[in-house]
Formats: sequence, structure tokens, C-alpha cells
Amino acid sequence: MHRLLQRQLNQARDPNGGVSYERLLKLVNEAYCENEANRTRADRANEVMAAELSEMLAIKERATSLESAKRIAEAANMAKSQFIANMSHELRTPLNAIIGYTEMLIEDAVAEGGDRQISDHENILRSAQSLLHLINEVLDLSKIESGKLNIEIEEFHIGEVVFDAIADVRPAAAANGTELIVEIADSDMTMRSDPYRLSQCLRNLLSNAVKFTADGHVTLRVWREEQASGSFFNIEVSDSGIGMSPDQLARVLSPFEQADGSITRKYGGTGLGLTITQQIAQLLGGDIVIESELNRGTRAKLVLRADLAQLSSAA
Amino acid sequence: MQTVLMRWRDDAGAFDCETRSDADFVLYFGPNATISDDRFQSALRNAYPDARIVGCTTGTAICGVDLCDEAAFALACSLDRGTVKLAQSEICRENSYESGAALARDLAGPDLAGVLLLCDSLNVDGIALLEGMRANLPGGVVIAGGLASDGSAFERTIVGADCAPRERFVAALGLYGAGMVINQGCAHGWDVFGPPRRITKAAGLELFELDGKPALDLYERYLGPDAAELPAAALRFPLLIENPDNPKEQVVRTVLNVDHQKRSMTFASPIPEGWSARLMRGALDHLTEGARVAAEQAAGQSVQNDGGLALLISCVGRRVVMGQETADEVEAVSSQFFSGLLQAGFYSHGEISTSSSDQRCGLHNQTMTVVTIQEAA
Repeated sequence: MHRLLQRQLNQARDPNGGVSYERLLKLVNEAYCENEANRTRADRANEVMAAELSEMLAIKERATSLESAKRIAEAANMAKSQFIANMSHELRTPLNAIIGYTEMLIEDAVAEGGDRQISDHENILRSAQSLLHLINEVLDLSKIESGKLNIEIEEFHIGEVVFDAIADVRPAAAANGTELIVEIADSDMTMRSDPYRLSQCLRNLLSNAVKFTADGHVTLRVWREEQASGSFFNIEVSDSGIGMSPDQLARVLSPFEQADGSITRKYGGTGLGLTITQQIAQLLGGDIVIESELNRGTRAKLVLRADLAQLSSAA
Repeated sequence: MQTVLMRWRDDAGAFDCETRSDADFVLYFGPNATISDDRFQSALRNAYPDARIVGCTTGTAICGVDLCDEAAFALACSLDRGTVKLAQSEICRENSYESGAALARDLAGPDLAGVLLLCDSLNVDGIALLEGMRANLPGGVVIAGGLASDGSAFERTIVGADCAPRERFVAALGLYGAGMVINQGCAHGWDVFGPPRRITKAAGLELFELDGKPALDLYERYLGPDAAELPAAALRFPLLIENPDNPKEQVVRTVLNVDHQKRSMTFASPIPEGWSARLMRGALDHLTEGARVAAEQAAGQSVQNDGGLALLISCVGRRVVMGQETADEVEAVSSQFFSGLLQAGFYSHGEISTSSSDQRCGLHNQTMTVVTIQEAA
């Protein structure tokens, strides 16, 4: 007899040795129910486990395909940057020829007294220069993205770079009725960094400030600050212009983004200036912080390492 | 060594057989109500005025090869040459280590061969209790026993030691004598299943997250409709936890309670963060085989003479899973011993013994633990 049944039979016996069939039936029923419940539980556990394992497998597969998609995207992005760099270079060559020949035509027209031609040629020259500026910006960004932007470190007086940049935007500020204020503690302070790239950053910040400020003021402040990690220059451009909303501010450092589409239509520009400025600032061992309030103006502060050579040799 | 097994007859308010009065110690196991009954305690004391009387609650007592869910029994042991000493103390979760240390210091002596430990399970840190004992006893002294249980109710577990049984109490019976032979075996037979998971959030006895997800979610998913019976239902899925730095260090852990709001689970013993965990489930044949292996380990070095006691401490989780077929595991243990060895024990909330995997006395869950106590001729 089966062990379990024998046991049930023993348990169903009364003290006199007789079998209580009611008790026996109850025990047999209980055992049957236990058995069925155990089988159901085992089936359920197997199903849950199978579902769980296939979920894990799907997650793993997703992670693998995401990783591979990421690699493809990175390679495509690199190829795109390389393509843009090449194309920009190819575009600049004929454009420089257009600019050069137009300048020669203007010189000839001046010599010959052809006033009408001078005005037309100047229009061609302005358009060509603006196109060149745009191509240069695209080229810079693609160089930064493909890690090919060269930084050339030399020692220079920061005052020279600052006043050159100010001189550049002065005509535009005058046209806008905007006052330019410079506060620099000591224009003889020296910096070991890339003066060309610093100048590029400053021109971007100043031209933005002037562009978005009418009948107001733009202030450029420069001061040196010692921090635990080294010596830094703070270069701050603040304006009393149209400013930005928090939402616009959040997007302003993304490439090709301006505060909104209408800005491009009204004020022009590629939307690359601030992105390039931030990327360069990071290459110069620093960063940019932008604060703004709608209709109250914008303050952009570059914090740059005073001696980039020291950082490079330490690295 | 002489042993007598006595079943309590609740209707008669007396034990079913004539008792010997010269026992050195008496062990008893049974339901809360029965062992708390004055008649039960008085009957024992009157029959054995000079014995150390120690016992605890259980949901199921093991009496020979029979299982008793609603009845209590006692077994009396008279030693030929050995002696016993009883130490007992109040205990709580916070002072478990100190309680263990004090008991050990009380019992330590030149001929101390082993300590039989019975303890409340719901208000104690079993690991700390054992650490306290181990730190204050010589390495060769066997520590074995179990935590009192109340089936799968997890409401009240009591222990008595020459006194009425009570909560927050621990009893340690020291067995002395050069001829004492104490062997033990401990095995489980549960099958691991499903993927290994990492214990990503745990504190003390409480497990919060496995692989960054609430542990309770996982259990509820596996339990399906049975989840309504948590925490008892979780006894069906113990957790095998393993130290990633030492894969030999692995123990089975049983759920004691769940917190639906915190989505956490409280285990009978600490759950270390960073260890890996796998769910387990019981197949009847494998659990029975586990019990047989435990008995085989204990029987391997036992003395083939007429007397002796085989104390079985099995986990309440095994009882829940095996149902009516639980008797199979008790019979499997019995098959490994010669007939002169008296077999008895109880279903516990935690088994105390040296596991074969790491050779260290520890607190186990979901095992069959067998302790044989004999005297060499």
C-alpha cells in the first residue's frame, strides 16, 4: 500500500482499532487538495520565471542593440563633422576669391569715380563677408565636435584682446544707441591661453549683447580670482537688453538654438555663437555661466584659467 | 543513557505512560496553550522533581515517527555518567549577543561537550545570540538547537527552563562528561530556481530591494493569489543568499514578516547588502532526501549502542510545503538510525547547528537539523 495511504489509514483509526471512514475520506481529500494546490503553484512559478527570464533577455538584447546603435550614431556624427569641416573649407576658398575680387572692383570703381558701382559692390562684399562668418562658425563647431580645434597657448595682455573686441562692436552699438562700458582692474594683466580663441568668445558675447540691446548699455568687466584649483580670469558681459525667459535660457547653449525662431528672423545669426563660446571656454580650462531675465537683460560670465600651460603640463 | 517518550493527553490532563523520576533532563515541545497549562507543567515537575526541565512551543511536534500538530510530548533522559547544567535568561533583539555571552560563561567548564539551545524566535537576533555564545565557549563545544515556533502564525513563541514558559526567553542546557558523544547533521534539499539577483538594499533583518526593485513585488508576483496569505505564503519560497567574496558561504533564509507600505520583507536572520540571492522552492522528494542526508551526517559518527537521543529540528517552511507528506522526511531520518535511538523533535523558526558547507555553527532556516546525543560505553 502507498505510504501516504497507509499513514492516513493509521490516522483514521479510533482507539479501538476500527477505521473511521469519514476521517479517512477527509484525510484523502485534504491530501488531494494539497497536491493539486502544489501543482498549480509550481506551474505558476514556472510561468512567472519564464516570463521574468524572457523580460531579462529582452532587456539585455535592448541594451546590446542600443549600444550598437550608439556606436553607429557616434560614427555617423564623426563622419558628419568631418564632412562639414571639408565642405566648409571648400566653400571658403571660392568665397575668399569673391571677397578679394569685390574689394579690387571697389578700388577700381573708386579710382574711376563710379559711385553707383561702389554701392552695389559694397552690398556684394557685405553679403560675402557675412556668408564667410557663418561658414567659419560652422567650421569651428565641426572642428570642436571632431576634436580637431587647435589651441595655441601664448602669453598676452588681456587688455589688448578686450579693447580690440570692444572696438569691433562699437559701430553696431552706436547704431543701436547702446553705451559700451569697460571695467578692467588692470589692462596689463597677463594670461597664458589662446588669445585668438578668447577674442572669438568675447566678440560672440559682445555682439550678442549689442544685438539684443537697443538704447541701453553693455558692460564688460574683467577681474582675476584665485581659487583652490588655481588662478582664473572672470570676464563678464552684461546688458540691459531683451533678456530671456527661463525656458529660453535652458535651451540657449544647445547648437542651432536661439531663444526662439522669431529671434532668427528679427536679429539674424546662426544660433551657434554661444555653443561655440562654451565649447572654447571648456577647451581653455573654464566654462560659461549665463543668467537672464526676460526684459531685464542678460549676464554671461566666462571663467577661464589664467595659465593654461600649467594645466596642460599638469595633465 | 535511558530515554522515555511521553505523550500528553489533554483530555486526561496527564501523560500516557508511567514516568521515571531519576531523569537528568526533560525536553518538551507542543502548542502554546498546552505547554502553558499548569497541569502540564505540574505533571512534569511532579514526575521529575530533580530534573532540568526545558521546552518550547512548536506548531508541529515530532514524536518518534509521528507528527503532532495539536499535541504536546515530553522526553526524559537519564545519563549514565554525564551531567547537565541549565542556564537561562531573558532576551531581546538588542541584547542577544550579551545574553549569549552570559549563558556561555555560565555553562563553560572543563567537561562541557555541548549546549542544547532553545530560544524565542520573534524577539531575538539569533545570529548575535550565537556569536555571543561562540565567542565565550571553546571551539570543540557543539552548539545545537532551535528557535521556538508557532507554526506559520508568527505571533507568540515561548520557552521554559525550570519555569513556566514565556516570551523573550532563552534556555541553554549544558551537557558534560568525557563520554558524551554529540553529532549533528544539517541539510535542506530545496531547489534554487530563477536568475540570481543582487541584494541592492537591505538593513539588518529587513530586505528592501533585489536588483533595484522592491523584494515584495517579486514575491507577490511568484505567489499570485497566495500573496493574500503573506507572510506565511512566503515560506514556500525561501531565499538562498551567498557571499560573493566567498561562494561557499551560503545560507537559506525564511521570511518572517512583510511590510506592504515599505514594500519590504523581514527575514528570520540578517540579510547582507551586496550578497546575491536566489529564490528556492521545495519538491517533496528533494526535501525528503535533504532530511535523509542530514540524518546520514549525524549518524556517521554515532555510537552503535542501545541508548541515545536523536533530536530533530526541522523548519516550519518544510512542514507548510510538504503537508501530509511531511512524515516522509521524519521517516527518512529514522531510516538512518538504529532502533535504540529515540527520535523526537519539533518544527522550528530557525535551526541551530554546524552546517556541512562552512563548518561553522550558525542559524539556519528551512533545514532538517539532526542532533544525536549519546554516551560512549
